[in-house]
Amino acid sequence: MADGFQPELERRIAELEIESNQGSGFTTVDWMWLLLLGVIGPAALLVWGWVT
Amino acid sequence: MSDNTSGIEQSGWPLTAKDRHWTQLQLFVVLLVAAAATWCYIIGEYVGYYLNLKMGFAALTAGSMIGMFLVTLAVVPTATRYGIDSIASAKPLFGNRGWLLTVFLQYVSIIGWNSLLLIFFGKSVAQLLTTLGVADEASAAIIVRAVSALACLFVFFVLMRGATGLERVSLVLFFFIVGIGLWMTWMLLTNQSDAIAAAKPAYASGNLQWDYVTGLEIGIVSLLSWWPYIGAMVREAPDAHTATLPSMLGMGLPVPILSLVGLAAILALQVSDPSAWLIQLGGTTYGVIALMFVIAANLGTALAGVYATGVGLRQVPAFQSLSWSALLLMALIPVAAVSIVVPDLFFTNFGTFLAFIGVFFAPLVGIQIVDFFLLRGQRINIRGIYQSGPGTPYQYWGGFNPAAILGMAAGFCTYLYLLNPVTYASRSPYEYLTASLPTAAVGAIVYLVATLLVVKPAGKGDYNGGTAG
Repeated sequence: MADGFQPELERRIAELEIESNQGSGFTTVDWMWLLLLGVIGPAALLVWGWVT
Repeated sequence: MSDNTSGIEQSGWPLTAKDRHWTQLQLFVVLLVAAAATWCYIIGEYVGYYLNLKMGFAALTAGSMIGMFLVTLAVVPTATRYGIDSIASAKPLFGNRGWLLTVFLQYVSIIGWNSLLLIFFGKSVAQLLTTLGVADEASAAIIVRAVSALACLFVFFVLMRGATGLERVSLVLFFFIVGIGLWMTWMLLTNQSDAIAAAKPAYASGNLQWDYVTGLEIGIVSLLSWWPYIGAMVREAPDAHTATLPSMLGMGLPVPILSLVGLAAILALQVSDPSAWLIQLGGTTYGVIALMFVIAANLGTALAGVYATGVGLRQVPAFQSLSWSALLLMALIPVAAVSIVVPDLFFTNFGTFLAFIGVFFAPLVGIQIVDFFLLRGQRINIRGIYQSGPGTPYQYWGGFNPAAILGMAAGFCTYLYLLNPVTYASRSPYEYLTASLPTAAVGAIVYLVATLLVVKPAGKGDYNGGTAG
């Protein structure tokens, strides 16, 4: 409790300071989905909507 | 989920790996129920003022997915890596005092949204009772107020169970919302296809490109409003991978799909509220079904909003010792007050409320993305999130990060220059770029430059790893 945290909060922080206990970031597949759904898909939709 | 875990969720403390067990499906259901609410009809209605069905749907869907993309990039990596909510994830940006700005933004925005939803809920019940002949028109105003107050009580008691209550109610609401939503869309498109095809947007500007970009802008801004909501829910997922598709498809896609109902209805029938037009199409039975949908959808979203507010308020040092019930009351009492005292005044100013929320959240997401991905190498100091005072990682100068303040101010001014959020009067290059995308970019660039030139060289903000201040 060097920071004056409650013991449970201190335990949680100490656990999360170890990288293997942290959630992992976006994977390559996630980035592909993000780009497809957030960039390419919207761009394609805009083209489709504009063409009459 | 154990009671102990439920208590930790309400504490605002980070969730560790063993607490975070929501699957993609669970998260998808909760996020979808949170996103699917009657504001979608109003959003669709706004787009229908400018565009026909095809262009409106394309612009709104594209804008919604772009907005969700930005919110996902901003919040999901931090929230899922450390098990923290949106508010806690903003502390490294704004400093250990400056982050209170985000609490204020969350508090105001979610109270606003919840007021809108519960007033709509009250109106739906009043109309249902009137349609069934149980009540008359004269008593509608009293019913709206009474039902809104009862809805606040319902939300309070459900959320006394924390995320467990949220998840369980969401499961019940999920099938109802999806099923009835699809049915309403089908009803409208099959019964009114000719009227929709022939309809002319009521307020089209005469410049199709401007109208198209405005539809896109409405979509982006609407989804940027998810920033305060999403963190409290995606932090229940073990990693960013689990949250990616639920975020984009569960929280991003339902808005344009449900908005299609409002868009088509305003074009064909000049009214976006399904509880009104379904009675026209199918009589009382259809009207009752629509009203039940409205009730279910709005309650689900209100639950998610109040839960996120409770978790966010818990981060404020002065509120850390308050009970969970007291935090819920802080989130609900303003909603109840608005719903009871000025329901009509608030309800008719939805557009202005939505636009001003977008003004603030566009630069915020831009800053957060740049900070996490470019400046911090996708790592933050989790201990620093809970520390305050001189010598701590996010103290900056007096607890405020001037780079974030500059970035927010630059973004705010950019938005106001490009588009007046009240009148929708615009300046070039709005018709090419929208207002919110340049706003996010300008906010991010100003933040990046100020950090590289001033903050980082001064050894502030923990950018150099372990450097205090």
